Amino acid sequence: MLKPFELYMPDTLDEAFGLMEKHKDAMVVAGGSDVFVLMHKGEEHPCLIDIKNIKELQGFECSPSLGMKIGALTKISEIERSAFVQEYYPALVDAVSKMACLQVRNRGTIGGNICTASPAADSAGPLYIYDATVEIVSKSGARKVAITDFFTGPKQTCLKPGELVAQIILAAPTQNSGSAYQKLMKRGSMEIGIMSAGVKIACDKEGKCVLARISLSAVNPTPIRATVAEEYLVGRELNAETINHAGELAYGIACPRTWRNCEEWSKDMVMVFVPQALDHAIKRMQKGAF
Amino acid sequence: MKEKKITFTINGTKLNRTVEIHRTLVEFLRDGLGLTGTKEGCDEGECGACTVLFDGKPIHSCCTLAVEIDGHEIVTIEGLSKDGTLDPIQQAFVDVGAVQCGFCTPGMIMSAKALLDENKNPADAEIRTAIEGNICRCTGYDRIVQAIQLAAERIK
Repeated sequence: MLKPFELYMPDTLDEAFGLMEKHKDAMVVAGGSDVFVLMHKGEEHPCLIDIKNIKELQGFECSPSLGMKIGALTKISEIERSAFVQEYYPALVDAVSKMACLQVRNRGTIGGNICTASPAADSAGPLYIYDATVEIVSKSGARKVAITDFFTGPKQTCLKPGELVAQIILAAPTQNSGSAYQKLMKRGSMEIGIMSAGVKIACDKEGKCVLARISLSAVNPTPIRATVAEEYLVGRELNAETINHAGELAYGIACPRTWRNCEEWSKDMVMVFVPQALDHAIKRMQKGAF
Repeated sequence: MKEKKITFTINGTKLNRTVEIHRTLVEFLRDGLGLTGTKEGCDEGECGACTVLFDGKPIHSCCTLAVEIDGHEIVTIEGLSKDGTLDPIQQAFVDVGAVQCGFCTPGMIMSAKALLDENKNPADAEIRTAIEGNICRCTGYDRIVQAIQLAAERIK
């Protein structure tokens, strides 16, 4: 049973900003799939502002030439089922389809997932590799932040008091590219990732890598890009030797013990999962997928 | 706001009620409406025993507030049988022997219902994905999967 609390359910952004100003310690709730779990476990929030009815934070715009804008309140299951996401951003589907279970994905939102800011957040890795930008709104206007600057620590973001995530903007799909996401789990569902690797690569007509993005989740205080491995791949052919070496370079930046007592193998598995995800992405690219 | 008047449809019947805003949906179903078929298990969105359909989609009623159903449609296990005849999914669970202690069964059947409402011919893997959020500690799941397959064949 939850302890009694005050609840506000604004219908507009203006109303929400007014409430956030008046109730400075209020917890903002979207799907509630994290907040109510924590409250059941004893976390106390005397005041909640439930934003799920705010129309301005909903919606989904996409085009192959412009990319995709995902309203913060978009449910994880809507992303998972979107034919557009499945075609152009398959690593995002790889990731969100392994998130918790269907009941949670039907309630949880992508905005909520990034604002909870778990180092293992399943949506974060794909957003890193697709060069996503987060649009943040407040009473005084809007600002945009690269997803790589959004997370500032475990469970911490760059959001200031009075700010809400409005939408997440993904860069347009890159021609002749492929992407994939692999999550290390002890079982197939209801599992926080022990480590995850997201990758996106693009090649020129000669088969040389012209773009590489590699994200690692759950092995640092925030999701992180393995830029040293990305830089190594650009300009090289993608083969067993180069993708395995990219895995070794990525291994070098994984530091799981800096934020939790994670099994050593979560770091070791970076060396396995990065090449595997790269291989999967290359196969998708070769098939003309993304 | 401590209480809110809500209007909702439960198992096909439209109702108005005033609910305390901190009450979860599973508490309201069981204590407020007497619909005790929905079970409260882990109370933290892990076990799936409290699964109900919210506008046709399976959700955890332990991690949903009762006030959130205002304007929406809820179906619980009590909403499946018609005129004393079990729903084909319920009947298949009985026929296959997919029930042991029975605590997970209402949630399991609601997840199966959501699946079969939109996929009349699910593959084994699709059934297992549909019940991935429902834990059963008795059966080992195979009988449950078989029951859902049987129900799908009978519904066709």
